Formats: sequence, structure tokens, C-alpha cells
Amino acid sequence: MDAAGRNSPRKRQKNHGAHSETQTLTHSRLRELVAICDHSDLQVLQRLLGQTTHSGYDPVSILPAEISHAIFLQLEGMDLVRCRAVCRPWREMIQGDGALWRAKVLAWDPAECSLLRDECSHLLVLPQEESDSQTGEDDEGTDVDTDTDTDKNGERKNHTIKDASTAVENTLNKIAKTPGFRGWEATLVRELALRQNWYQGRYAHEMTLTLDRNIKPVLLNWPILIVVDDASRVFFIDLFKVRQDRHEVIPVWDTKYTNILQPQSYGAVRCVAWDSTGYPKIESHDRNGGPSDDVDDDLDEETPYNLALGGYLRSIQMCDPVTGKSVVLPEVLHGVPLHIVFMQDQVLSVTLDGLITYFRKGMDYRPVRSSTVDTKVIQVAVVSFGSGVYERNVGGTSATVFWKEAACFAHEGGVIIKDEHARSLCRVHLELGARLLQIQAIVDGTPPYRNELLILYEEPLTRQRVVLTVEMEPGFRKEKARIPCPHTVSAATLGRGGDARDSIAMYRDRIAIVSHRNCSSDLGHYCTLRLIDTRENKVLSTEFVTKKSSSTTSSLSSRPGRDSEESDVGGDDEEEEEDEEEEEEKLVEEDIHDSFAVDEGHEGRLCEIDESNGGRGGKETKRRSPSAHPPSPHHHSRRRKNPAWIQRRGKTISLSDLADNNKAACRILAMDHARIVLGMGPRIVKILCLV
Amino acid sequence: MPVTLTSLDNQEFKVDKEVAERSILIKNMIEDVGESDAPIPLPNVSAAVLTKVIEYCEHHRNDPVQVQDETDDPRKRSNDIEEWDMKFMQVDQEMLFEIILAANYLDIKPLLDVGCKTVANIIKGKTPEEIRKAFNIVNDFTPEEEAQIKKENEWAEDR
Repeated sequence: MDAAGRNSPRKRQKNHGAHSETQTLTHSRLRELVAICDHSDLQVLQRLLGQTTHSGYDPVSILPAEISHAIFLQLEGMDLVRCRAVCRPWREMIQGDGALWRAKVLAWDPAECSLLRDECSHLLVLPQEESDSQTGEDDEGTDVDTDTDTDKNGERKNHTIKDASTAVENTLNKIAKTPGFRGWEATLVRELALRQNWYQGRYAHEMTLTLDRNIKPVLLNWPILIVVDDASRVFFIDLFKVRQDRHEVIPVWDTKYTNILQPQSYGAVRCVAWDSTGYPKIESHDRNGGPSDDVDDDLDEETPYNLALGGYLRSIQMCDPVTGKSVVLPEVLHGVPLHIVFMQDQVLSVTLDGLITYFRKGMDYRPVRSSTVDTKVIQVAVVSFGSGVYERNVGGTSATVFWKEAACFAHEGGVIIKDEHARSLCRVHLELGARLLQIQAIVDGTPPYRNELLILYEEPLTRQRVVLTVEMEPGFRKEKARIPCPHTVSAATLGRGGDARDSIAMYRDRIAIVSHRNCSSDLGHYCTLRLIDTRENKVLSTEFVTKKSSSTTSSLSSRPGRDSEESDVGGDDEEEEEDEEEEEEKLVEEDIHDSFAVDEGHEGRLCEIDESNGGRGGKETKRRSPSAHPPSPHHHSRRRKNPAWIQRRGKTISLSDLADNNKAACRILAMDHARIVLGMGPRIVKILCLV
Repeated sequence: MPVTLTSLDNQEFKVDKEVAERSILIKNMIEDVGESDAPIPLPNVSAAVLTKVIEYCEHHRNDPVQVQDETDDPRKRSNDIEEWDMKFMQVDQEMLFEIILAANYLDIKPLLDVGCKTVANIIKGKTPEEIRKAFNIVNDFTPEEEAQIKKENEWAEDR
């Protein structure tokens, strides 16, 4: 050590002395040396040089490309985005690595690749939906009264779980070849930004639309926004084009962006529905946009209309917004259509007094069957069960039953689930004992598979808004319980409910709430938009596990997860929550004494699943929800201490500036994963784009 | 039968064949050359690094040989490192990268994986500035580029 210390100055001196003569020689030698080095030698050399000069020695960027790839592959998308901003070599390494971004996109839950879907929505048609076009040829009469359509099932393409993941990959590959695709990196970054914006309560872009008449129903089916005014004009606005041309105010009357359709002999439109179950869209040449003269007889049977308008004339009109062709559905003599829902083979209408009519899609839209729910339906959602082929035991002989969808009718007190044949397969009543606000069906045929019904309701006593996730299961467990066995899975509270002016919209796991407050006379009225991503909760809390009713997780083991969730609660209803917490604290202590399985709590609340043997004329046995009875202390406590109850209120966007004079009339008209359509007063629509 | 390995600085290491064969490179070499007492030269690995690598191989001598899975499915990617490996990787950064390079050269996939994961864990959750500090990297963006990137990453900053 000592010797070396003495040695080096001398050496340097010597070098310095011989500098002039040897310089050229050394340089050429070095060059020779470098020339004979192979790749790994050069890396060693580079590293040594970096270490000697201590100027920006970057150990990562000198690694062989496959190693740095392996390192970056370990990182999450967000980390990659940050790594891009470190330095130039990193940026080049990461941005140039297409395989890396592709792998990241593939790792993403395909159902959540929502922006990808926007860009290439026509490619993401599930196989099961493609096969629908054949049903038009079937004889309708047969399936009204018989339980089985075995023949049809054989032909069905089975949408099996096994090949779903390769299907996703194929779809992504197809997308990559689509002209509009801007690269894996751009896609993932946008997707991340979207998620972050939901989480942060931010929006990136805002568009305004002003009409000269009052706005009636609005439907958002990106990139098309369908707005109906009270003169029953239907505006089809291509938001994608509007956004591309950077218009802040949507040029409603410009035919470049808007296609206006005026349905003939038609009253005020009450409801609008868009068929997104996946029919191949046929490019049309004539874009007249005007009203069509009459019902065309020679319509293409394979391409039913994909827009439905329901009005006060007790009828539903099916239109094709591109050609302007339309057909009026055979009259529903029973009442005003309130909801229209597209199922895979059928169109379903619900009237004001709860009468449900099913129409066969395509051809003449003949009404197939009808039934009633005897209550005002506030929302309809459709859940589907894959291939829809199930074994069933009928009178000792097993038969294959074709059943792939069930419609969920939400009314104020709960949900009624009916199968698509509306007779014997299922008739389930979920009584909530609370005010139901919204339902949302999530059906993912790709991994991670989900088939859930989210129910957003308001607790009658605490006025907490709660999202309840009910897992839907297809098929029949046994002959008696012919139901899509709903399991109560988990619930999350969203904070206290507001007043009647609040409006709520749900899209998959995301919830947007516009709430109004009147603070005091001087502060005046203000309204806020709150964005909540219930999925985000699940991501953040590792303890937030999906529980089936068979599992017996003890509440104690799950507690920490809930605690950590509660710690980042903020906002104006703080007191309220603290009370809650204290109470819960107490209840958990009780729990130590009586070790009950937690999940039963919800089972109890959800009350009776009521199976009726519609086919055999069985009687419906409706039971009141337990909360209508004085709840037993046990029952109550069990409900309250469920660890999955998460206090998270989401970030808020103040709408007071946006709304100007129309604060009171602020409401959500429609939303999807990245856009929220707000109604500001009677004639103004604002679209907030989150990305 | 022990195998002799010679490091960059001519130090000799006697290890069991089983241990040495954790390295696919050495395994192939032995297979090619056949049984011989001649030391195997490893001119890319220094003695200090080789000591560490041998320590790793000794500990993992009985691990089942990893099935060559080139698909590396991102869906089943795991970020967890075994406890022993984690301790093993608690070295200074220079050594960490030396080990990664040596593992790459010697073709010891599990060690390479652990190394990559360790580096990834250093990067994880850090801001660009923190990453620069962690690896002693100089920010070589021009102010304009910097501003551009900042704008681009605006949404990613707070969480």
C-alpha cells in the first residue's frame, strides 16, 4: 500500500516527461487495443474509465442490453415512466425497447385496457358475440315455450376460459397492426396517466356543447356522443374528431362532426340505447342524416340497427345513425318505455310500471315475450355467462339448457335478476333494505375473470354510500337453486350521501358523483365532482381480498388492511367517520369474544335469494330484508366490522367555476372510463376528458 | 471431483463440480473438455466477485435446475427475493453490478435474476432525481428537453 503510494507519483512524472514523444505511439496502441476488444471487453473498459474519471459513472446504461431489459422488465409502468426522465442513455434504452412496453401492456388487465379499446374498438369483439348473427335465422316460436335449444348450442362457439388469454394476445397483436395505433409505449403511458388522473381527480381536457333546445337523454359511446334534445333531434357527435381538431366548443351544426337525425312521427325521446354487443359495422355510403321515409322491407337481416330511441308514443324506434334508416318496434301497448337494453339476441324494454318486453333482434323485431317486475325500475344491467350451455335436470332426465345472459333490474329497494327467457331459469330477488342508487355489471371474459354486479346504495341509518360487489356465478348448482348464485363479496363505503340533487354514474369500478352543497348564504351554492376508483382501493390494500361466502377469514387478520385505508381519509365529513371508527373499534373488540365468520354479515343483509319455479308455476316467496326487522345485535355488529369496508372518498373537482350560473342543475349525464359528460343547466353539456 | 477455477487476477478456487456446474458456461466447458485437472480460466471475473459467486452457488447447490423458460410471462412475474439472496445482495453498488455481469458471463440465470430484481428494487418508487442520486448519474438533458420531459410526466409526479 505504502509502496504503491510512493510509486505512483514517480510514474506519473515519468509519463509526463516522455509525453511528447510517446503520445502518438500510445494513441495508436490504444486504438489497436480497442480494435481487438470484443463487446464485453469494451464494457469493462468503459466501466473502468467511468470509475477512473468519476464523471457520471452510470452502471446501468453500460450493462448489456439484455440485462438492462431484464431490469426494466421488473419495474412497474409508473417506474418506467420516471426512468425515462433520468438521463439520455436511459431514455433511449427504455423508449427503444418495444418488447418491454409490449410486455407491460400484456401484463395489464385486458378488460382495463380501455384506451386501447377506444382506438380499436371494432377489433375487440368477443368471439361469443360474433356468433350471434346466426340466431336471426332461427324460428322464434320454438324458444318461447321450451326450455332447451340444444341444437343451437352445438353450433355455438364456446367462449372458453382457456383460450381467452391467447385471444387477448391475438387481439393486442391485431391492434398493433391497426393504423391508428401509436405504439405500446404511448398506449401504456396514456393508460397510466388516466389511472393517475382518476386517482388525483384531474381532467386534462374539457369540451362544451350548447344546444338551442333543452337536452334530453345523452349517451356516450366513445367516440360518439349521442345527444337528444326536446325537439327530438338526435345529434351524433364524433368527439374524436372534435378533439383532434382541438375544438373547445363542439361545433354542433358542422356536418363534419355532427350527424343530426330527426326521427319521424315521434314524440319526446325518453331513453336512448346503443347496441355495443358487437355487430360488424358496415360502411355506408349515403350519409343523408335526414329522416327516413318508411320502414325498409329489404333490410339486411345480419345487421340490426344499433341505436334505439324510446319515447312517449309507447314505442321504440330502432335507427341506424349512419344511413338514417329506422324501424318502429311493434307497439308496446302497456306504457311508456323507460329503459331500453340490448342483449345479445334481444332488445329489452322496460316501461314506467315495470313491464318488461323482449324483442328479437333483427328482422322485424317481433316481441318475443314479456313479464313484469311490478315496480319502477331505475336501471337495467346485463350479466352474461360465457358460452351459456348448462346441464339441467328436468324431470329426471338431464338436458342442456342454453342460457347465457341475465338481466338485472334495479329498483329502489334491490335488484331483480331474470334470465333472458324470463321464465324458469332464474328469478332472483336481492332485497337491500337500503336505497339503491346505481348498479353496474362487470363481465370480463378474459383473465382475471370477473363476473360481478356492483350495487351502489345508501345506508338508511348512517347515510353512507356503499358499493357492494356481488359475484355472479353462471349455471345451476342444483336443481332447486336455479340461480346465478350471487355471492356477496365485498363492500366499500364512499362516504356520506348528499341530497336529492346529487347524481351518480358508474362505469366498471369507477364512480363519479356530483354533489351539491349549500353551505351558508354568503358562500352560496357549490357543487363538486368526485371521482372514485373502487378498484384503486383493492390495489392499495393488500388485505382487500375477494371473499366468497365459503371462506372463513377472521376479521382480526384482515384488520390492518382496513386501518391503513382509513389513515388516508380526508375531507369534510371527518367527524362522521371518526364516530364510525370508534364504533367499529368497539365492535371488533366484541368480535374477539364471538368469533364469527365475517362474510356472513353481508349474506344476512342481502337477505333471501328467492328461487321460484317459474316453469312449474311455483310461487314467489318474497321475504323482507332483515334490516326491516329490528336487527339482532349480533347481526348488526357483524355487518359493521367487516374489514372490507373501506373509507375512501376520492378526489374532488370543483364544478363551481365550470357551471357558472347553472350550478344547481349540474348533473352527470353519462360517463365512461375516461370521460364524464356533465349537464350544466338545461342546454349545456360539458365533457371532461381525463386523459 | 473438485474443479479449479482461475480468476482474472490468477487466483485459484477449488470448488465441487456440482457447485461449479451451477454456471452453464462452466458446465458446458466441462462437458466439452471432459474430465481434466486443468484449471478453468475465467478472465472476465475478478477474485472478489468470483468469491461471491461461488458463495451463491454453494448455497444454491441443491436447487432444482431451472427449467429454461424463455417466454418470461409478465403475468407471473414475481418481485420477491428470497431472504438469503436478499442478504447476499447487500453489497456496494459496484459489486452488485460486477456480480450481475459475472452472472451473465457465467450464465447463472437465477443469480442474474436476483441481481436484476435487486437493481429494480433500488429504482422502484423513486423520482428521476432520486434515481440519479442512487446511481450517481449525471443529468445530461438540455434545459429544453428537461422542460419537455417535465411536462410530459406532469401527471406522474404526485401520487
